[in-house]
Amino acid sequence: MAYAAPDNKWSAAWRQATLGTAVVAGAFTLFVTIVMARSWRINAESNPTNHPELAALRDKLAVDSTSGKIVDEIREKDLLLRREFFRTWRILDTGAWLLLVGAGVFAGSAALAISARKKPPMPAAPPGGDDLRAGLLGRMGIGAAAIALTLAALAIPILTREVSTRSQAKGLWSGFRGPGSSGISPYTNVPLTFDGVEGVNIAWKVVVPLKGQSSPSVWDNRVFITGANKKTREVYCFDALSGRITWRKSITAGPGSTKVPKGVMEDDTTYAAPTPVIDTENKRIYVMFANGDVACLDVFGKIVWQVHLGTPDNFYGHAASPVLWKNSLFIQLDQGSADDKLSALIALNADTGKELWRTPRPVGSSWPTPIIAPVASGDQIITCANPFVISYNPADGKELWRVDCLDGDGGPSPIYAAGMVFATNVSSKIAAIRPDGKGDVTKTHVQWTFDEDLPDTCSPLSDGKLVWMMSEGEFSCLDAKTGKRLWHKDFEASFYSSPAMAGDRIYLISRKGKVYVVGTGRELKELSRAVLGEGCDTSPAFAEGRMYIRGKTHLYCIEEQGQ
Amino acid sequence: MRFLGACILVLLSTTVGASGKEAFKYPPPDLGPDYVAPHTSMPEITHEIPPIVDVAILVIALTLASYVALKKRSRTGTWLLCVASLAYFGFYRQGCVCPIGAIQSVAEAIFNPAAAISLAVIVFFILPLMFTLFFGRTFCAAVCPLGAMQEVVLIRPLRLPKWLTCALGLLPCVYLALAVLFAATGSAYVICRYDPFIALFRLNGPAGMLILGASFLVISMFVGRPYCRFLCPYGLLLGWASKLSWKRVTITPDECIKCRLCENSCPYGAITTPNADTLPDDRKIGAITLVCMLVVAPLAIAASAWIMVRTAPSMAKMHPTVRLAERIVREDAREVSDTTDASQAFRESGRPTKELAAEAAEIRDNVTQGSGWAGAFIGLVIALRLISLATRRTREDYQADRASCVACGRCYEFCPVNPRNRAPQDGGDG
Repeated sequence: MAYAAPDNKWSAAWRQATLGTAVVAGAFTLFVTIVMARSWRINAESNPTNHPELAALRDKLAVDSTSGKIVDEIREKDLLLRREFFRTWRILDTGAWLLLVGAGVFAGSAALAISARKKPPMPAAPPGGDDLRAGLLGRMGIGAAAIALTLAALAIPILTREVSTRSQAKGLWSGFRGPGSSGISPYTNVPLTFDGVEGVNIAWKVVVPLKGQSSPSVWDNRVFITGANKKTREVYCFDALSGRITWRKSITAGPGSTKVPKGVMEDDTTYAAPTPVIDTENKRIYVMFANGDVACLDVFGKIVWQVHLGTPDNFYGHAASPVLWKNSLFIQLDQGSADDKLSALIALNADTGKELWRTPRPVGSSWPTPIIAPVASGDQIITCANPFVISYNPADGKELWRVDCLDGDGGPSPIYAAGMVFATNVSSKIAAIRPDGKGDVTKTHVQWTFDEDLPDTCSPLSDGKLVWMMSEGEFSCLDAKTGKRLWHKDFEASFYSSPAMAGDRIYLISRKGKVYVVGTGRELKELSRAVLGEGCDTSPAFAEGRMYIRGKTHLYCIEEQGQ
Repeated sequence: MRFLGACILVLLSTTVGASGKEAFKYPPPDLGPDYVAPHTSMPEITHEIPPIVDVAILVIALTLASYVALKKRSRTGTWLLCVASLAYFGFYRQGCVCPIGAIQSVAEAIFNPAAAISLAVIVFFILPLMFTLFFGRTFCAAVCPLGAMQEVVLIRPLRLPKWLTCALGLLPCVYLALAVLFAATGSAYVICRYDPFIALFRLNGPAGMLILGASFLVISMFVGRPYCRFLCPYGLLLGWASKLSWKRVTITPDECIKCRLCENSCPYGAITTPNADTLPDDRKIGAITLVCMLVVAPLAIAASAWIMVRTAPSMAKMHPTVRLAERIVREDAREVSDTTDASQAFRESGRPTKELAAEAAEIRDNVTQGSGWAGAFIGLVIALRLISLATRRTREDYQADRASCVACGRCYEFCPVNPRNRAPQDGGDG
């Protein structure tokens, strides 16, 4: 080992040279690192495989595959992005070598500079301490590591759970109209026909204690609905196997809860129209009532939190269901008239019920439930109310775009399919809207409209190729790309229940409890008719082999006999 | 000499590294169903080094490393060999095949008879262990490219406190247990996937891995061989083998004169000091501690096994079949609106979903069972460490710790008994 003598001129010069080299090499390495970091960022942003603009253009192309203009736009954008991508790629490629050289020279010269200053070892005081103390410290370290590893192991299930598990769905019918608020069942093995009077294919039917228009939400072996009158609001958990009520919980969120909301149509909208929404991962149920009470309960019926949002001034009664997205619970609280400026979209913290944000809405009372649309550029909340379809960013409630296309008292909720938003109302039209705009896109992003036989209450249904909608008995099928009506049929009945799809069947439930099952093809094909046995204004829920329907007084579990 | 070594390293890496550069695979643009992508051809493989050459070089390198470390006792020789190994096994062969990753191939071959394993991989796994049984950890000293990478950038080593080295020292056994578990169940080769230096060897890789590699290098400038000491699963096996080794590196070639010059020379904290004078006369406390640790041992094993079994459902997601089955369920439930390549391929295959679900369930069972054993292994290592720390052994002189000494040879340079250090002094060169 050669140690540098302090008075050695050559050693000093050597040290200075190696130190200088280390400084220069270090600066060079830092510079290359900065250039590479910048290039890496540009490279990531110009990757054509996940570029948002290209994704939006592809969505457009999916809707209109014949448009040569869109194809040209895609090609042009793709070429530009590729050029940038490979330009920065070359910089990164060269930079890697430069970085290796720079880092190598830095490490080598720094080591030389330090060794040039190294002095011979000088034994200090004899080693202190003893093995007892060293052993104790070692055991403490191992204990700390064991605790840290245990905590890490226990945290793994939480960290690895899917991000979307906080949202609705999970393959279960966990909110209004099921997964994606689409009305489409993930289960196809549900009965084609049944008879609630004769008990054919009826697993059980039970009386629901209090009235309500909320539809069932299903999780595992539990079915949740709500019921209410002027004074009492209740949440019911039914055992899916037997139909008996596992628990019922009364909700009174605060002093304002006792105030009876004006205008509620007791036999129509009822005091319990919003459908419960379930957070399956965190085992929570969120409910809302016409008096403005919102509550979160655990699966055993224990109230986690409850808040009173004020008594809604809604002339038919509040009906919009809450919607869950990540850690936010959204309430579309539209009330009064547009001039009253009372309406708002409210986001509550799903864990605590505390308000996260509130965005005022330029509309009056409305009844549709908002939906979360998984648009390529990011999730959006889509709301409907006379006269606007408005999209918001679910993270902060900022308005993204709006379309002026609705009129009258809005009941149908919007849907999202094949990259398009479909929104409708009885006095206006059904509009197919591209959700990639900014600001008022009424004139630019409405793909098509159709204005005959529009629904008053029932939400539309779409598989991405066709769109179905139910007006006062008139059931229409439109082409999703063009809006052209393919067929329509008058069932000569009144409908409030939204159409629901299971496999290649669409279930239509009339207000008198007659059930019509039609095919999902481009031609009308009626597959069967069934009877519920009592009036029904709610939408069905689906589970493995089962369908749950809430009638005026009973909750039905429909299942193929023998299963 | 170090400067020369650095130059060799850079020259070798720049000249030979380019040929092995990873090709970037870019998908064709999505221009709709009518667009026909042009046919692409696969270029011919220009060269391929037969595995026997790698094995031969490994044998030569191990022999040289053992000779230089034990016979010649030359730090410079060890360092030069270290640089050469880094250039060949690291930058030229791009870190593959290596004994560390071979653990997984061997584990998979043992637990899954259908899994293929090449003879070269087996040799790469066994040879360093065999050499260690004879000569100590000379593989770590000068042959392992990962160790060499950290060795050459170590500028100013800091001494870590005892409690921290003991705490971090548990990580290799956790890593080994997980690596064997995932490989045995066919889930993943985590050692290769998360090798911090592989991206540096290939001058290419995901940004995360490059940053991880760079971070390890920066830490390696001040903490001696952090990967080898606190992560490397193969290092754990070599450490155990080294405890039984026939010969190994010693600080002094002759009798230790207790001059204490070597006391702080080891950047890896592998030098144990004499303790004969500091051992307490009353051994009661030590005996009680030992009894306590013996009682704790079975509890540690059981608790560790239980914790690992609890995490098994999450760990099963490492297996592609389990992930695919879960993805299919989510897609069928319309929880996600898009598909993946794997899910698309599965649907096109026409295979029943139930069959996939059954396969995934079987894998989950295997992972759960394996997790229990992996947990028990981790608990056993913890228990043995605790017992070891509660046991007193008398040490008369300065010694290189059998398990943790990586035979780098730094301590030779400080020992006045070493003939290499005596000669210049005798010559009056100071």
